[in-house]
Amino acid sequence: MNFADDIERTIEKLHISTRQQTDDRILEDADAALEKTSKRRLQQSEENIWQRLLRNKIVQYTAVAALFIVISAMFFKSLSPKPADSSRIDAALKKTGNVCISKFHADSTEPYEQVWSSLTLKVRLVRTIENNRVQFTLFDIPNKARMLAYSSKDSVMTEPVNDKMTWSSSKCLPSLKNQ
Amino acid sequence: MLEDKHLISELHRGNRYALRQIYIKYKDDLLTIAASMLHDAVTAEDVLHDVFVSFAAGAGKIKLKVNLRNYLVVGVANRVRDIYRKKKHPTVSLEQAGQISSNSGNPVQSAVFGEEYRLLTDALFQLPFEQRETIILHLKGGLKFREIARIQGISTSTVQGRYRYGIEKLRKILDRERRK
Repeated sequence: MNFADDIERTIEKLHISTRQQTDDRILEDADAALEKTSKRRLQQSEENIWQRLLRNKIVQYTAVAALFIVISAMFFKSLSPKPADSSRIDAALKKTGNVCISKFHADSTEPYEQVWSSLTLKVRLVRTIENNRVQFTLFDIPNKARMLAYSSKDSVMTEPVNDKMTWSSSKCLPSLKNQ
Repeated sequence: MLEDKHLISELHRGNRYALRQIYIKYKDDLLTIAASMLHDAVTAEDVLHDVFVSFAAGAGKIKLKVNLRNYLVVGVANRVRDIYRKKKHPTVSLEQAGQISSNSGNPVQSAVFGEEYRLLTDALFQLPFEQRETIILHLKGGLKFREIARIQGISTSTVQGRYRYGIEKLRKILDRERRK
C-alpha cells in the first residue's frame, strides 16, 4: 500500500487504543479527583449561601436593627437606677470610717462649715466661718476634750467636754460617743 | 455535541458515569494524538492520565467555548508542549508500544495498519516538533489552523506554512523509505 501518496488520509485514520490497566488507573484517579472537586464545590456552595445572605440588603438592615435594639436595651437597662434600699444604705454607712461633710450657702461655692469625722481616731474636726473668722474645733472623744483655734490667732484653747454640752453641727456626735 | 453538553452538565453535578462516558468516547483519539506527537507510548499514556485527571478536577469550572473533543485535544497538546519544554520526556522508540494495539478488530488489517503506523510515526518523528504538532492537531485532532495558531502563539499563515512544509517533508521521507 502506497500511503505516501495520501498521507493526510492515512494520518486521519491513525488509531491506537489504551490498555485496560491504563483505563483502570486513569479512571480511578479521575474519579478521586472528581469526588474531591464535588466535595469542595459543595463546601463552597454552602459558604456562598451565607455570603449571599449576608450580601442581601434586607438581611443587612434586619441585622443592624436587631443589633440596635439589643444595644439600646442594654443601655437603658444600665441607666435605670436601682430602687433605694434602706438596708443597703445602712450597710454602706456601717462600713464608713472617715467622713467629711461640707455645707454651702445657696449662692456660694465656699463652704461655711466643714466637719471631718473619724471613727478610727475617734475625733471630729469642725471648721466654721463666722464674721469672716475661720474657727477650728477639734473634739477629742476618748479624752473628753475640745480644742479651739482661730486662724487669726496662734493660741489654742483646750477645755473639757461634758455629756451635757451641746455642740452646733454635731448631730452625728452621739454615734461617735457610742463607739 | 448535544450529547457532550449533557455529559458536561452531568459532570458538573459530580456524575461519575458521565466522566466515564467522556473518557471512553475520546480516550483512543487523545492517546493517538499524544503518541504520534511524542513518539513515546508510555509518556503518551501519562499525558492522557494527566489530562483526564485535570479535567475531572476542574469539572465544576469547565465552560466550553468549543466542542468537548477540541477542548480535550487542546489539553493534550498543551501537556505535550509542557513535556517538550521541560525536556524531561524519554524518547523511547515505539517498538515498545507493542502493547498499544490497533482497534480495527481485523487481525490482518491490524497487522498492516500496525506497519503503516510504525512507518508513519517514525517519519513524523523526523519532522521538527512544531511541524509535527501542526499536522497531527489538524488531521487527527480536527483543529482548525486558527485554533492551532492560538495554541502555538503564532499567526494562522505561519501555521499553514508549517503544515505545508511538514506534509511535503513527510512525503519525501516516506518515498525514501519505500525505495529502500
